[in-house]
Amino acid sequence: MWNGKSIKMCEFHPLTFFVYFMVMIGSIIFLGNPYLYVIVLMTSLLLSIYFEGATIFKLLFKLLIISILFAVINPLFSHEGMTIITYFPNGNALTLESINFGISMGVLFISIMLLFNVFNKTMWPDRWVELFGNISPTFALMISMIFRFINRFIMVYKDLKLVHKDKSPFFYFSMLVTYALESSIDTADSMAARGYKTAKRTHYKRKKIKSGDIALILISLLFLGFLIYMNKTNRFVFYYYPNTALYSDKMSFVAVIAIYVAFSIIPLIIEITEDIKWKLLTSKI
Amino acid sequence: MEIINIQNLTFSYPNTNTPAVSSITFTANEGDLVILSGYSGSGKTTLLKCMKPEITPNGKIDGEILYKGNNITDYTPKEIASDVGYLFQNPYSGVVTDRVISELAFSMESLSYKQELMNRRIAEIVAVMGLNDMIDKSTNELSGGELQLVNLASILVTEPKVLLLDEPTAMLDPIAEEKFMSTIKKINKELNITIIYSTHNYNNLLDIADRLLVLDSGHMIANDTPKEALINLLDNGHKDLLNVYLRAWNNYGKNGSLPINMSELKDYLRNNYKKIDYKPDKEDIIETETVVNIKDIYFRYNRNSKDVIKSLTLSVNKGNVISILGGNGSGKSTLLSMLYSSRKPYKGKIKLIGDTSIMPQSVELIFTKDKVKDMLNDDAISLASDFYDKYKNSHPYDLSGGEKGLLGFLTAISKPHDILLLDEPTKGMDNQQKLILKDYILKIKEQGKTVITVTHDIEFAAHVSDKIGMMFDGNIVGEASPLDFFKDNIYYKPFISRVMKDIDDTVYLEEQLYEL
Repeated sequence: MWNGKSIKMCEFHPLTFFVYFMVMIGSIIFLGNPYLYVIVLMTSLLLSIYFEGATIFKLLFKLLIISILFAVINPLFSHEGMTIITYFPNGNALTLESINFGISMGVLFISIMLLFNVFNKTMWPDRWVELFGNISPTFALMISMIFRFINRFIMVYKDLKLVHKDKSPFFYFSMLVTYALESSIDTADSMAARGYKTAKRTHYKRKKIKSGDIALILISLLFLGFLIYMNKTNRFVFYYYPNTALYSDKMSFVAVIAIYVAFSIIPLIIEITEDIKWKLLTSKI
Repeated sequence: MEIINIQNLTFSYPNTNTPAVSSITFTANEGDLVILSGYSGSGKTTLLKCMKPEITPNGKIDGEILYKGNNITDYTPKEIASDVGYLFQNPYSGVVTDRVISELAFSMESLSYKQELMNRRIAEIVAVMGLNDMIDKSTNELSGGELQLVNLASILVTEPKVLLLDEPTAMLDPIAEEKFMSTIKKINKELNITIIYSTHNYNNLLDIADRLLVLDSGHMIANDTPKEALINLLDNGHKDLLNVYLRAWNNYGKNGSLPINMSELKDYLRNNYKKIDYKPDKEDIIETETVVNIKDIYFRYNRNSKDVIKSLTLSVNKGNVISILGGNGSGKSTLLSMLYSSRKPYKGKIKLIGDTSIMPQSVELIFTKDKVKDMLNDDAISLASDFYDKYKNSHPYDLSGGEKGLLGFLTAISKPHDILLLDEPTKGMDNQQKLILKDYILKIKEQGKTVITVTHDIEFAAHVSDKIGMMFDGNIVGEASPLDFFKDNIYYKPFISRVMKDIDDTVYLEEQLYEL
């Protein structure tokens, strides 16, 4: 659930989701291409608005301030680049390229934060457990126990603060440690009583990988291959220094942009088509 | 068919002279419901843990524990893990994982079940126990009662033949307790699982139990069908271990047969009850100065959440004991934390005269030292010299649930206090410990201290309070003396008051029927 709306993307297996997001984030970070930053910024913003409405602009505003800082600070420290605009009093050059780089880092920052905002809302604790359950049942158990432990710790800490007013952080910490050690004995007993380590552990999966998941994973991988191919064969490469330039032919440029838009808009398409389907269905009822 | 057979079992912890349990012999048949009773520290938990080899404490075991005719240690750990289920007293400590659904799957995953079978078992158990609303939740969101049901379900999925329950409802409120008991009755009857149920409070289980075992400092002093066992206790002079059925029957000259459920007791009392001249051991309320004055306060956790406390007004006089009853989440604990001024109302005023000290619901939170003797001051020690002598060198975490409660109370009064705030003080206590606590409270009341307690324990509130109120909808309603409060209630009444409802509605304590 996100802001009261159910997220239809979460019908997919967490593994699918994980792959999709890793490809998205990886592609913008490693290709370092401002065109892609702008696309991701637009699509993740659309998705966030779809779920959160106007409240997302609060977050966006904060991000904007930080990203302006990026844009301002970079030219102060980086003096690379061919196009010199002017000189600082200490003799260092202010270059157009370093301004460009600063701005695009700012955009990258916003787009990654928005992307993670979406990612975070879709990967709640048990989806992480499910994700790792496929790799190792013991690891999945560990993750689940860590989540439990952290939450419990926070709850006990809050209760402690109600009972002991105005104590030093060290006091709370030592109380929490005693509590944690004590409860770990109980947990160990409970695990032993329920057969932990008596047989090879299996993992209970709530979700199966379905054909839709396989399709999306394949699309993500193909997409990743395509981007790497375009980049390695110099059909879509971006340089900031010595001068800001995109090396690409028209065909390749259009192809990459079109495919990138299509790929990054997949979650939004899923949400909207599911919504429409549901509306049509309810109107029949 | 005989499923558990214990012959002459003796268990001693390392470095102790007296065994924790000695020469225990009993058998349980398939599908039996066995009640294991006795005071705290009588060896109930030790005995139960001996029947579950994975968690048997270190120590010396003599005698034999047979499961289905073979020694229990001859089975593989896997077989015992799935065949014998063990439920812990504290619902929070049994939980291992973050999600309810992973908790349900835990034992099956450990025992290497296949996905198909896990799916079916979880589906079944969720349907049978009505856990549908909980499966998507985090284990941190559930109340103690809900968690205990989840813990039970997580054991039942592996199809155990024997369930060992270690005071499973001691930490629960009466409503959750009732729900838990009815689930236990259901699985005992429908699934034919043998249940060994350790509890202090077996009034509601007697009529369906097959056997009642009573332990007294490690020795078994009764082992028979419930009726016979109770009569044995009486004949052997264990007066302090009797329950209300037996006391009523005994005090009215053992007329007719021993009642063992509520309706039988009601019939019995209807025929035999004679009004006696009862003088309460509390004095009448003397008008004293007001030390707590709460005027029209409001509280909520977040700006956007609902009010937990709404227009609450309360005044308490010096030297009075006030109990506030109420369901889970009715805001009782929130009110106490506001009186302790760790939370502030967003509207309204709280005026307190004197220092406040609090005993929180999770009583471990105020155990700040490693030794009991370091936590108590002279006043507390003189009040509880027996307790102090027994436990002064113990680590507070090593005490049992009820003893922790007593220690929590003593720790709270070791701090400067004029007003004492108690949050569920009787949690995990047996009747003997409740009597001790009552005694402590009445003594500090004599010293002119004021006590405000919030509790689920209606019987306890009836015994200690000068006034009782009920928390509902963020407010305290029906604040009155115990007599007036219970007279008009239907459900929130002590057991004896519910039994006596149509016979004599002024009765709310057993002492009003006969001398205890």
